[in-house]
Amino acid sequence: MLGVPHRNRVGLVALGLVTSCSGSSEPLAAPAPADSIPVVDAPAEPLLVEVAERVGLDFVHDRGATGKKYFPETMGGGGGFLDYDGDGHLDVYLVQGGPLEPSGGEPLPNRLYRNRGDGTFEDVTEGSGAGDTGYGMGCAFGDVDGDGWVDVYVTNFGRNTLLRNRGGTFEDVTAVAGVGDTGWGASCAFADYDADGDLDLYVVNYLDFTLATHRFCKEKGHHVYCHPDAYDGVPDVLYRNEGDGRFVDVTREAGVYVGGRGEAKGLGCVWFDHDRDGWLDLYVSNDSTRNFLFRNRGDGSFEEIGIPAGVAYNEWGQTEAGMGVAVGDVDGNGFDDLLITHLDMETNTLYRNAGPGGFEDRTKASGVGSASVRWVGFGVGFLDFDHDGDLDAYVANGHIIDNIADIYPGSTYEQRDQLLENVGGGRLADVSERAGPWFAELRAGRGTAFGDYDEDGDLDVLVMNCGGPVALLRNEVGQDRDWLALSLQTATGQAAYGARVELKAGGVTLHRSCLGASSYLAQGDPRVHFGLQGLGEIESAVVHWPGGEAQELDVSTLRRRTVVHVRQR
Amino acid sequence: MKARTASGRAGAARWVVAGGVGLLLALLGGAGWLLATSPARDEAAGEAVAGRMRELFAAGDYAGVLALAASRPGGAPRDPEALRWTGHAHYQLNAPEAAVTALEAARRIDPDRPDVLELLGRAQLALSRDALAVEPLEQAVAAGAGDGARLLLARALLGADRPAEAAAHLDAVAAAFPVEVAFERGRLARATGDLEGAARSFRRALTLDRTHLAATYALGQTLQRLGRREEGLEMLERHAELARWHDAHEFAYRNSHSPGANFVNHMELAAVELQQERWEAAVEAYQRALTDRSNLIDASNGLARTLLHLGRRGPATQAVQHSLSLDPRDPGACHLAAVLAILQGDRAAADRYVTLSRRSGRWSAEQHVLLGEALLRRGHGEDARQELEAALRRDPRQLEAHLLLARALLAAGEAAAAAERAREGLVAHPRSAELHWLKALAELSAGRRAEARELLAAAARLEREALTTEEEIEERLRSLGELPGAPEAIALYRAVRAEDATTR
Repeated sequence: MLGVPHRNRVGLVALGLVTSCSGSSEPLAAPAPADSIPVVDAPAEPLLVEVAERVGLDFVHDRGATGKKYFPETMGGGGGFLDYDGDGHLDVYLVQGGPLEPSGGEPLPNRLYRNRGDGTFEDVTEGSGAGDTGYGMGCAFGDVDGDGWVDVYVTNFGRNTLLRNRGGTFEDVTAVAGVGDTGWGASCAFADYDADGDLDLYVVNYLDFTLATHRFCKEKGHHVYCHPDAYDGVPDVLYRNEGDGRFVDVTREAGVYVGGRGEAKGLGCVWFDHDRDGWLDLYVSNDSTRNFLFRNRGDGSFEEIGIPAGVAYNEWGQTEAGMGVAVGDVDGNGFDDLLITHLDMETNTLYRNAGPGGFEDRTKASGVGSASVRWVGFGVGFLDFDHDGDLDAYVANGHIIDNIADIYPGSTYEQRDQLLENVGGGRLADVSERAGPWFAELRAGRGTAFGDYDEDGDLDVLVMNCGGPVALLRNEVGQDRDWLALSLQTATGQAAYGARVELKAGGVTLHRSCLGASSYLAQGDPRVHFGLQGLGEIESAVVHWPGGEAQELDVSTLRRRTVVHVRQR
Repeated sequence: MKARTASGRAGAARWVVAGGVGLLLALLGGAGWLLATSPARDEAAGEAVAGRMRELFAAGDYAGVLALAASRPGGAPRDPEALRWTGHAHYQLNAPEAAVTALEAARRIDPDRPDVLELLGRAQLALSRDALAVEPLEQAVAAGAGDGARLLLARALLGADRPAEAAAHLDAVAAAFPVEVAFERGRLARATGDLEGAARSFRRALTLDRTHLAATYALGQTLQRLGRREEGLEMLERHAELARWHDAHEFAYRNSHSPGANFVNHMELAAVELQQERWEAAVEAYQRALTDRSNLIDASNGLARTLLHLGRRGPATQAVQHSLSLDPRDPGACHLAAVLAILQGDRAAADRYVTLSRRSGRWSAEQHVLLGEALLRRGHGEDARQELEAALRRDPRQLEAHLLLARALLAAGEAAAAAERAREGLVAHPRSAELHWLKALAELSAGRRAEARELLAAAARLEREALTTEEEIEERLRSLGELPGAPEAIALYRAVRAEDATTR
């Protein structure tokens, strides 16, 4: 609840008609103050229903809490959707924690769940080779060797792991590939930043923490997980794919090395084309240090422009606890905006991409500020859950300090997630209380991924919870409404991470990007998804491939309520 | 006050109705006593609870306030004072939503309490609900709340897209909050598309408080939007450095002020304070370290050195004496004792301390500078120059050494040597306005007026970019007044600035 009178009591269908205009590239009217955002009526049925256990996802994250408050114990919980066996159904990969101390017992493997094709899953970890046993954090998926099978990269507290998919089973090729970074890895993401036809890899590192350098921290007399200021950051790593199974660390030569005290405490990242120049840029959210935006110069190198672009700090010039990252064109101006999750009392931050003018902090005006100020956000993503043509948002919440209630009685470690409905004008309203019983559940939410696991046309949500069971939220809204999904493959057969699509329907232009890993420690289905309910005929569709080439699609092939496969010419 | 009493009685009456006749356990001091349910006694009990809450709040025991509130029979307190403390405790414990609930309850009982209304507005602002903060803050101002409430109201109005009303309130509190009002005026101007006005206001805020993080950032961004890219980037770089310092300061401050903090935390905080030349704050941190560990000679020396910077020679002497009582041969303490002895005119004592101090090792450049400066002040020009030369041999970039040497040479009438020294200094510190000044004085002494004018113009530009305040500039002019040629240089400088202002 936003605590304001319902000035416009409109139902979801009506809202869809109203807000579909926000997909337009036309200038928007000045937004109303955030506090007066209308809130949608209660639907008869939940919008999202939690079904994980029912469909066979019985994974429970073990954070290996020792009572010693080792920092990694509270940061984990990654995973995502991938089609590892190429059968067209979205499978699920979940990253496990386990004991941190060598004497803590048997390590626990990550788990791979195969989608049977009927909306249920089976645990196929045994014998698959996918069960990496490092103390896991996050993961990214991509066909790094161009053999048509999706490979898996896992970040760990300890050495990271690359699992090569050999046709449904996995082989650890970390050493040969040269990607076994040993920093405390957090998020990671594949993309072909140099447009040479293979997927490169960016690995975000968090803190220079080891069990040996662990510090005892207190807050108001209580033993707590330390603030990240207690440790130095660790520079991230960019690996260039050499195309022969090996990767080379090009962090310094590519210009993405940032080190030094008070820098680079990274947690989230995403590749996207922020300035629409055809080259993939990289955004990195850092915890209590400035965020980075690396602009791709198109020659294999980058320049860090976070500060002049207006995305390094919040409106007040302060660093925030950057964790998850969402990318999407919330206000329909054709440029991808950024939503970054943070601590409670900081608010999450919405950076509106004004195009050539850079980004502007629209946290308050968008309603994101008041919606998020009480929660600690981690996983986050934009999705058009109701297929009304504009991007809504999902945020997974959960505190970092597991005894926070002892320190701040009004706070809790486990918190409820949020669904934010796009109500037009670049504004988002918290509709969680009307979205179903899941949104009253308290969990320590972390990684969050999006994909249509049950193939009914709408996007479902996978939420990894630190020290708790995984949640799978089946979308109950979108299946009866028009949609279109595009599965984009580059000429070399890769998922076209970073490609952009402009689709015009009924006079409205929608802009969507093909995303690889984003959010927090997670990756969703890269298919580009359009909600088209209430929009007229599709008039045109253009794919802007990484590297700058544009390709107009034959609209006669773009039938509603289908997944259309598009390969780069 | 009349309204408060009346509503307090009303609250007490409702308490009776709700609770009926019964026993009420009072919570003060852990003692219990029986209270009859007459309104007067109930009111007295309510006031007593509020009084206890105030004590707990003052002691920082916010959880204790909430525990007291929760233990009231029938749930939350009914007394507006107790509700206010409850709300304030929630606010302090990062629970503004709960604060709003308690404060709204207080407002229902007594709608005119400015403290409740102001806090309610503050809590709504903390929840990013600017539009909802407007009404209680307007009421708070109408009910006589102070300038702080009016400033908050201006912020809320700005956030609620009501810039004209915000401007009026900012005007009213400009004298009380010059920095914040300048900053908010900048935001206001920016919100209405007046980027030039915004830049002026942000700059004004920064001339008053050069560590204002938000103003630095906003100015950098605004300059960029104005197309003044280089200037904007420079400001943003300055902001980035400041942001790092703010984060480090926040961490060190929190550690130093948390329960169980020790001398290590206090010393870390002192070091961070010194990075931004926050001398008084550093003094406090050193004093806390010494309270925790009185025999900490580094803290005692640090305290003495910082007090010397502040010109507080008496307390600095006490701190040095304390250090020497801990270790009469401590090189740091002996060095400071030498400096103080020179300032007190006791060269013999100073020489003894110098000998003792140097016996234990080489001095740092800063130590040479400190002694050189003291010698200079007492008229020992030649000795001072030797110390300052020694400082530059240790660290050729030592800005203070360059400045003091150039000044010493000018004072001695050696204009050519002063010019050369200033030139060398400018190689290492091209953005030092003061070195430009000294070189200008040297050039004037040599009759090169055009060169001097150019240097003074550069100094004025650098001062503007460094956000040097008028007070600081006047202080600099006063300090240069004793040097040869200063009156002519100052007149020329003022002329240059006047021309510059007209051009801009």
